[in-house]
Amino acid sequence: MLGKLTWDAIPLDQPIPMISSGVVALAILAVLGWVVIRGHLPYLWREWITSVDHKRIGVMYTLLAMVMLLRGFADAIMMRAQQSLAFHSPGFLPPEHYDQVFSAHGTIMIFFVAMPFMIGLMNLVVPLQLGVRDVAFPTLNSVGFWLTATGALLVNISLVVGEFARTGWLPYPPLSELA
Amino acid sequence: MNILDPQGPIGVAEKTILIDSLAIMLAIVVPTVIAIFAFAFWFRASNPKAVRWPDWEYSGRIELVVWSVPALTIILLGGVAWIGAHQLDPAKAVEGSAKPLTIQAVSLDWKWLFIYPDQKVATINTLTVPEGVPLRFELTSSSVMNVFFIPQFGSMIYTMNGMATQLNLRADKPGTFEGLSAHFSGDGFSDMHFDVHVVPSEQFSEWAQDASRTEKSLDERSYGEIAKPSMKNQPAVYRLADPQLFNSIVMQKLPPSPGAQAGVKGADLPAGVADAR
Repeated sequence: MLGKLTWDAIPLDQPIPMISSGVVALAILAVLGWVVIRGHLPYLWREWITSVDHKRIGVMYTLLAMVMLLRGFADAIMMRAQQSLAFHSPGFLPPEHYDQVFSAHGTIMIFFVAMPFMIGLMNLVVPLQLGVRDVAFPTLNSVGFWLTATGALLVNISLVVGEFARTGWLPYPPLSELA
Repeated sequence: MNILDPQGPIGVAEKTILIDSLAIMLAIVVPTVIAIFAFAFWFRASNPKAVRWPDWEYSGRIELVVWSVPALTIILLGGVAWIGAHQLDPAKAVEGSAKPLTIQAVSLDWKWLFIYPDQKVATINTLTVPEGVPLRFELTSSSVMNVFFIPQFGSMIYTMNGMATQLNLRADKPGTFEGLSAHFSGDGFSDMHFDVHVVPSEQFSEWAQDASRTEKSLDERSYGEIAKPSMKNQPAVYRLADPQLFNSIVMQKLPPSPGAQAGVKGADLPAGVADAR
């Protein structure tokens, strides 16, 4: 079922991705636990997750952008730390890891911060400016957001499972075919 | 690394374009910034002379200014770029004190191979050129795209697999300058630096004669070893045994470098590759 995916794809020997993914998993579990224990789940499901309200979708887009901004910011800190430590020394990131970090930084900052943030603001503001009740296709709007969120989830999972692209965020062939 | 301290005619011309375009753009930016503060100050609440015209809709004089100044800027900037692009066409020959020296550059994973076909010399990660002589570069890549760039000489140019690009430069002062790859090409990219030694012509001939008697020779077999991925290669000098090597690389008679394969850690190369030189 899983094809070529084996346990080898998990970098158990590398502390940086393992610890950071562990912390993120704990944070997600803590938020989910809080939601379930305090009984917010039905409210969250009815009023947010299945909502087609353009304002709520706008807020969720913005929230996604802010979470991913934190994620991209962590990459930026790692890159700058490596650059400052790597003068006449190898630093703490090997090249193949650094290349993954900066490819991920570019991809995440553009596709999961800049775009959701813009689209979130547009969702929130444009129907209000036009004085209409909602966008033209509210369900499609909701599907669009959840596909974006799924994309963000997949990209972030691929930072732990297997290798992220090592091609920079403008994957030029033929490098993008090889690495 | 300093492009503001150019060492050849191409670099000097490019510095002029840089400064000219900056000046043309500042000619719009500086008055605009001043105007923002001037307008904000003039239309302050306490200024009785600042009149409000709610019914105003057209002024030919304002239209003239807001259309003519940007149009002039674009004409000037476009003119500078157009003329400069033709004058500094990388394939256009540069004047010099002697007949051009041909250097063939190959970007490999992750080092530079320089071939002097007339001197029967090849080097890795080091370039020695005579002062004042036109340098005719032919460039290609054995794997992915890179950019050949010696900042103080000017003009970056792409190296690409299966094709040859051209670049003409000249170095006017002796010294040692830095060259690099200016396009991300994988794990070893950040170490794709090379020193450029500019020496007087006689010294260059001596260097080339010495180098052409080096024991290590570069042919298809040793090229195959060099083309394997490796990082942080020390400079090396070879005797060129196969003068058609560059053509074989461009025409892909020699297979392209395997490159950094997915899942292979860039630094983990078979033992001995780095010593194959």
